[in-house]
Amino acid sequence: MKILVIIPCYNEQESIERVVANLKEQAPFADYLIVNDCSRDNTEKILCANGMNYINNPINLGIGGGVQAGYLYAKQNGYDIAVQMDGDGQHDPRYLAKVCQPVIDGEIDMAIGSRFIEKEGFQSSFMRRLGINIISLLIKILSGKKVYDVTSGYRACNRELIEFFADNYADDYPEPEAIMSCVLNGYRVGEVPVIMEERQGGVSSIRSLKSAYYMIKVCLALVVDRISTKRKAGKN
Amino acid sequence: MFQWHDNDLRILLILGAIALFGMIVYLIKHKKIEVKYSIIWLAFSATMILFAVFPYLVLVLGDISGVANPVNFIFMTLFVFILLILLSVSAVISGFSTKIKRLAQANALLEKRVRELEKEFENKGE
Repeated sequence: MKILVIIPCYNEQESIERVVANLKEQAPFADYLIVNDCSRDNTEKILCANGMNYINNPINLGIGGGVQAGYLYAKQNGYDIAVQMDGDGQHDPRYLAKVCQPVIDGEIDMAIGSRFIEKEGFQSSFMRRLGINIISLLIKILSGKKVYDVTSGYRACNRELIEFFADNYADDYPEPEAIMSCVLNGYRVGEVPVIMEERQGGVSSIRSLKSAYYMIKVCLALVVDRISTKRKAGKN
Repeated sequence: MFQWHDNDLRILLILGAIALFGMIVYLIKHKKIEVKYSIIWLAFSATMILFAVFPYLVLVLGDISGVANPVNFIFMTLFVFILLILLSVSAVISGFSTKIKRLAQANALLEKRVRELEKEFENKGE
């Protein structure tokens, strides 16, 4: 069983080394690929100097396009499971096996590492949680599937979904949309409780000034997904 | 005192429409606009020429659609065409952005393979 950890990374010079060292220590069974999304700091030098496995996007594609490049790589290189993990140290590789397990067992097609099931560890600010709850509710209304941690970027998926994501993945804020399109296309989505850290370096792709735009864009995109995707009878 | 008459306006419209048509044909001829993107522009300028040459059309269509002043009907047509063109530009840009994304991803994966091949090659050479 070949497992690939996709680590999208944009200006993460402070944390990327530690993230990879952690990953190698905690999850030696998995390969990893860092997607350097045209960072403007020394990220690339660090990646190169340490002989890490990475790709360089020639232009900044945003988190969606970057992660999708990772899925393309997983597809081309015949991986069975792909796991997304942030490059800022929020996601502890200790839980990697736990997040992968239900996908390996074939219980679900995509497993999302969720910090809101056991409500332990870093829980994010009140405003963020409010936004996450609104999106979660919208996904429930539109698709019928309740997912709590809709913005979590810690997720594992199987070969079928790797191929699906290599062709269809949203652009700027892809996490909630990916859940939506999975459910609508008949894939099984589930959550696995994990404990998340506060980010160790870098800035979130969702900043305060952008958050209003984020909410409008995501909500609109979810509605568009719902009306443009013909629901497929899946394994649900 | 100099005064604008309907005829002067008509001549101005004819000249303008012909100039627009000429520019579009020039751009297509020199391959500055692809034919598929020029269709809506050609339709636009052809309509304007038609209106200028046969003002009767404008009067009748204006009457049917209840536009009080015939020249407003011309403005309305203009506006509708501009909206259509803007929308089509948005659609074309969206198509491009998907294609550019694909290219960048393919490029990133290729660059990795080249980088690794070069390294392998260097190691063999030593």
